[in-house]
Amino acid sequence: MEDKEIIRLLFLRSENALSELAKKYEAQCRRISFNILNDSRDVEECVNDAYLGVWNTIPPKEPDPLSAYVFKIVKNLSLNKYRYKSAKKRNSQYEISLNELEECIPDKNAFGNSSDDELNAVIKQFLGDLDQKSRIMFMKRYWFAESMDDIAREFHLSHNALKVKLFRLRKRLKKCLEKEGIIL
Amino acid sequence: MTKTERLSDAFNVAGEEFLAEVVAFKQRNRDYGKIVKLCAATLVAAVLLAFFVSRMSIGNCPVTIYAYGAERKVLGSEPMIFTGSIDDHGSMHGLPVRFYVNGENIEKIRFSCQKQWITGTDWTEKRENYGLSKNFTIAYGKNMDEYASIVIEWVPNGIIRTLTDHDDVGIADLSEKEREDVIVMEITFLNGEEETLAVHVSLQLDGYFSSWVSEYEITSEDTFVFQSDVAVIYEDNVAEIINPTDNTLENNKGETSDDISERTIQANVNLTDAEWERVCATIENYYAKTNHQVIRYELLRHDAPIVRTYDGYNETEVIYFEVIERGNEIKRYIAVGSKDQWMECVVLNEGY
Repeated sequence: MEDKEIIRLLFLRSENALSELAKKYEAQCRRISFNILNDSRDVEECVNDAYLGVWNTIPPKEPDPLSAYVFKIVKNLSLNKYRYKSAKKRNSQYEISLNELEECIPDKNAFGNSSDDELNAVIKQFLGDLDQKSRIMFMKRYWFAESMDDIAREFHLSHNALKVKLFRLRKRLKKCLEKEGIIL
Repeated sequence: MTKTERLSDAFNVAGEEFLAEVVAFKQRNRDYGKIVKLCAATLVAAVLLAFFVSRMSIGNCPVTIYAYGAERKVLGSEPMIFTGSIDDHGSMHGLPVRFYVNGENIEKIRFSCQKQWITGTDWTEKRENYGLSKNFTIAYGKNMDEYASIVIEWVPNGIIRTLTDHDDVGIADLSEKEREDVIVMEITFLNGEEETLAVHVSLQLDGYFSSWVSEYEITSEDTFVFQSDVAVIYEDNVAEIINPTDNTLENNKGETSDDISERTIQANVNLTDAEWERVCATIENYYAKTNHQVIRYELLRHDAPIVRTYDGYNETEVIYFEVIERGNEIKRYIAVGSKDQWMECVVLNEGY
């Protein structure tokens, strides 16, 4: 079913909208959540909560594309749960990608007061300046927390080539943050 | 919340703008998978059908141009506003004008850009890529599923340069002509038919770009169409172009002591690795800011003809580089100076 039709059903408050939504996006939602939580029960809970979130916010919202909106909700719910349970060692893809992102922090020992808006703007600019292929790779690793192997397969790259590519991109992000005087 | 988590959260928010692009990419890949399965399932029928169809005329050859970005929309005769923008200082934000051509049985398309620059990228990696160019021809061929992966990007380097080089010039100071551009597409179909279309681009006063499509008739005044095509940029170069600055720094890090002493003799200055890296960063920042796509830069000898003196700097306080820019055969030069042992580096001069 087309996204527009699912949204129309949501506007009509038809519960079929949720089953159609699940039919179309559940696999991807589960993957995003699992990459963060690495626990099937938690994933189940987050994905169901995400559907509830969709149900409660559409209407009045009419997101386009719907997929991005749903994925965003799933990721935020999964991150909340991850933090809630962070004491427990999970060894998820998210945790691994988080460790990689740590390399981008300009000065780990310094304490600054760069605002969230400033930080977001620099990252947005950094992503916007990347060529499309690099941007998608970067997003897949650090937004979707996909595994290196999955991304490498998708881009027909060796694991090592992808690793080097992502390393360079992280270095580039670090330089951007430094250049803009961002201190976390 | 740790610093890493804060960075991850910021990335989470900042990345939202590009989510649709990633989703579309996934979708496209899946669609390819479906098409492959479908093709396999109907192979026998297709072979039989091909026998009859092969003698039929291809018929009309319509093409549709799609904006390429977060939302793929048909680019028609009505102006469409793209999400990318430029400010009065020449800084680009978001995605510039990008599009791809969809249609049937296209043999090739020759693209010619009147004032600014265009690039051509084939995401299937089956065709050559073209860096910043004015004219190039891309073969499309029978596999129509690949058409959507051939992306043309319009790069307004001329406008950016004008705005960055002149502090007193803003977008509103540019004439309408300066803010407009046209990309002519000479389309040849497999049946020999030809069609010429144009993608018009206009920089609006608010910094956003609008674009629309029209039919186009090439006249003798369109000299930009008659220029010869650029040479192909081969994969090795493309890899370097994708991330030229990082490669340069990586190479520098791998230098031997011989390389460093050679560097010292050449530049007539003795730089530590950290100082050298700061020089490189200055150059890279300069070109990133001015939106030049640099392939590589090489140190010039201190006795090169281009070398000159700069007021207030002695000869050990300035070093010079030759710069190779993507899609530009003419070399550029840049002079970097420092008055405090290369802690603070400044670009003293840059140009042809």
